[in-house]
Amino acid sequence: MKNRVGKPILAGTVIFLAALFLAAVFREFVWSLFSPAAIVGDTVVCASDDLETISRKWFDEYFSDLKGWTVPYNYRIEKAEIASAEILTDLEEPYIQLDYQVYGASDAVMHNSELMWTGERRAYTGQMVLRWEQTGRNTWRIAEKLRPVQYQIMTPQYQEEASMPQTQHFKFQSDKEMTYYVQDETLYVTYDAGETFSEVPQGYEKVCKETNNTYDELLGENSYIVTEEFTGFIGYTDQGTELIYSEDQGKTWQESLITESGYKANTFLSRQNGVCYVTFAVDRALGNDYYGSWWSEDLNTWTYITAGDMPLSNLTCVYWASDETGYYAKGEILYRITNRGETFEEIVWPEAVEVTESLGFNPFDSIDRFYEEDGVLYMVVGQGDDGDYVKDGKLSEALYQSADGMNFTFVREIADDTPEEAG
Amino acid sequence: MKKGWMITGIISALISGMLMYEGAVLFLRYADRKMGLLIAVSGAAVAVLFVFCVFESFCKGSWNKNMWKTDGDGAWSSDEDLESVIKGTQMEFLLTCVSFGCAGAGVCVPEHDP
Repeated sequence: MKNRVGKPILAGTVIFLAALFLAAVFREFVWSLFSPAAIVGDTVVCASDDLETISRKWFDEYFSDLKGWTVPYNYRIEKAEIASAEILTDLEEPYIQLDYQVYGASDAVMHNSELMWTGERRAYTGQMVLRWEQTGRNTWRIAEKLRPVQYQIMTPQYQEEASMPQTQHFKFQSDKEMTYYVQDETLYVTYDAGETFSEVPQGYEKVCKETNNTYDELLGENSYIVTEEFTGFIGYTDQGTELIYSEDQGKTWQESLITESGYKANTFLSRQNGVCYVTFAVDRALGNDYYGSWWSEDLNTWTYITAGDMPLSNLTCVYWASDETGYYAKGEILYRITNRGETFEEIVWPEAVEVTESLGFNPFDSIDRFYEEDGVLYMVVGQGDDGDYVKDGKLSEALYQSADGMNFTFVREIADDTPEEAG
Repeated sequence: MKKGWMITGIISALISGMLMYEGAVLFLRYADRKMGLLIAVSGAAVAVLFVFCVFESFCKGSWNKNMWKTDGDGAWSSDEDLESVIKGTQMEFLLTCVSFGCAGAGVCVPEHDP
């Protein structure tokens, strides 16, 4: 009895295992014979010369080859259909973009990196951009296949945008109660540390736009004024250079044309005792920017400041103090102007000895800005564009002071408070 | 008849083996658990037919052992014998239907997976 039952079980097991082995070998062999047809170079016979018609015919033929038991599961599909077809004409030759949907025979098709899962079981989408060429009567061949992003990169519009330098954005300096802020290509001012903002009309275009059509969102310290009594920026337009100002904390704004010339390089604005002093570039030659200065009391009529033989090229800082003395800096060279340009003299300021002795060199070589506090004139000297002397993670600057406006003494090192770049 | 069952058994073994192997590939290689299990179970359903074919091949007539039992005159041995033959044949028919039904389901279901 036992033998009668055992014999068929044993035979059955052996037969089944052998069949399983043979089936596995057979399936792997059949699957190994499969290779997906290359899309580029694939041809279709179509009497029409409409790209969409040609593409749809080719699509049906191509994807029908991916159905059936001979196709491995990572390629096998049940159905494929074109969701949309769009002819692209940005380039010399027309391309056609096909957005399609594929229903896989299993989830294994997700291993095909060309497809994206829709979230629905076994449903995937794909995109391709094709260029067709006619190779014979009614015969069309795919000459090029791209992903949509690859096509976009080739378009002249993208190439133009890519060749332009990217505008750098900066975070708002919340530690300053009254300051400016640029966001979303708009220039704002705030008088309450960012609680409320007032827009400067056309400020971004006039104040931030550079000569090469890029935008500089970092305004130099002495190039604008934001106070409760007076707020002002220098704006550059096709009509000339103007002062954009408000005397009611940004509620209303006015413009005053200074001169019909001028262009954006470094810009300097000071206001003392109701008198505005502006300095900006008016000419350029051999790589040097030449500056001019004007003053106005009524913000209607502007008077040019003649500075005699004082060199006014490549200025890095200009500041007019409360005693109507102008300070013009060119790197580490400093000039002092009195009587609104009638006289000028060079001022020599001392090195920061403590720093120089410890470092072995003087890193502070570019006068950045001036300000006044309690009757004392302060001068901040930075390291220029090549500065790399860092303290506590921030670039260091040197603070000088002068009680008489002539003799400066080093006070201490301070941290550069340039706004951080926005991420 | 025995040869017929053997051939059917071999074919069903091959089909079952293919389905079970595909199920294993989907389950393990492509991590498609649902489809892999479905196809593997379909293979197991076809294997039911294989088992039945093996049984029919090696043990054919086990329910019919009394079928041709007659006395010397050619008449059935007894009413009980005739009854058992009828019951055996009915059982065999039922099992045949079930086996082929399972095999049919195993082959068709993967093609029409919802």
